[in-house]
Amino acid sequence: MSPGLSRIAPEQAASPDWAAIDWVRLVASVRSGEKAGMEQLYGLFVRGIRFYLCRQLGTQDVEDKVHDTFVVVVEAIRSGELRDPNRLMGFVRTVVRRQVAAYITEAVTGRERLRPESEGTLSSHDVTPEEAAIESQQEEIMARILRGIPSRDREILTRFYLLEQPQHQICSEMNLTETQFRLLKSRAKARFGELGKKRLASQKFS
Amino acid sequence: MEPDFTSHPDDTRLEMYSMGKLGSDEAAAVEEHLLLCADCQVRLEEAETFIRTFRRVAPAIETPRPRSAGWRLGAIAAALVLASGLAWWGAQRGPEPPPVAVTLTALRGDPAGVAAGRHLRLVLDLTGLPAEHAYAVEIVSREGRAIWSGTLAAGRTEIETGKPLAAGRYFVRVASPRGDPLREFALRAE
Repeated sequence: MSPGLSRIAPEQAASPDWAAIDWVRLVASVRSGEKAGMEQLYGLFVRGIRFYLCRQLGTQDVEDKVHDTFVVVVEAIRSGELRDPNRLMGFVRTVVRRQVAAYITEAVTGRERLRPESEGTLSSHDVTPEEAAIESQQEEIMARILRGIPSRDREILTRFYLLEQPQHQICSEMNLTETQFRLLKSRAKARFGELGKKRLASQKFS
Repeated sequence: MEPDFTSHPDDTRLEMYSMGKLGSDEAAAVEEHLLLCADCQVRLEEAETFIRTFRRVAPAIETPRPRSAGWRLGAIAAALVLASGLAWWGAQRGPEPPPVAVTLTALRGDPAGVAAGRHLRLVLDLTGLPAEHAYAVEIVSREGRAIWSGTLAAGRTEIETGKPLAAGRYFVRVASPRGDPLREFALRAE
């Protein structure tokens, strides 16, 4: 359990009310070890820290890593490393990135020490059969969408997502406005999401 | 100037972040925002699923030759739209032959001709049919075996098959949304 926390604080709702957060007061509260401050900090950041760690490191032992990262954040705040409370976001981001780097270094040096036949703590990134089935369905849906749109629209999407051409280049060469470009992408993605949900719904009831 | 982490990044910005195309300050602002905003976390995951799937699938789907110099994809060029009538013209030649379109105006007995092995854009004569309906379009072999099917959106008269035809005789059928047959055209691939 994190120092000063006697219970797990609830996680923040979908999107915080930025205007209502008093960063100066929050940081002061954490520095002085107040439970309310710790709980507010936890509620605000735990989900985002977990999100970031999962993306960078995978899901193995993620809750332990989230907890450890949160402890590092709190200790860094309490030791005065954060000079400007209004820069708390950037500070937390920096701490999380440092933690990720440390975990990666630990995993790499640990891997080098392991004998091939011994078990280690290396996480498997193999796709499970369920994940493979979901990917296959997504590919079917995508193929259906791409075959159903005009070839010009396909070219626009290919330039952006596959060739990674910048938006301004695509718009200039294809004679598109920015709005047209955004609408095209958003329609394709909305269709993908919609067909995915329909497929999922039909499987639940079959 | 400090990055503004309170603004929700739009879809394009999230995609560019995912693809590593943002500058360091912009990426920092997005990451700081993502630390707190669960809605945008979900949006980013959805965007990444879309991008990953697109990248796996798109190379196998025909894509037109881009207008700018420097196109190096091995994709087949896009379909061309032909003028009305039974004639077709050779499409521009390049490393991969583009698909051809064929205008279907005749009923059985007078087949439109098209080059075999090419993707098609069917230009359908729907004179007399209500424009506000979508229609089912199907290509069947001479023996009646289904080769390809698709849906013609309301108000449209052209549809790409995305599938080359082997040499042979075919029929292109247009049906109502309920499945009632409305038109049938003969097609010959040579």
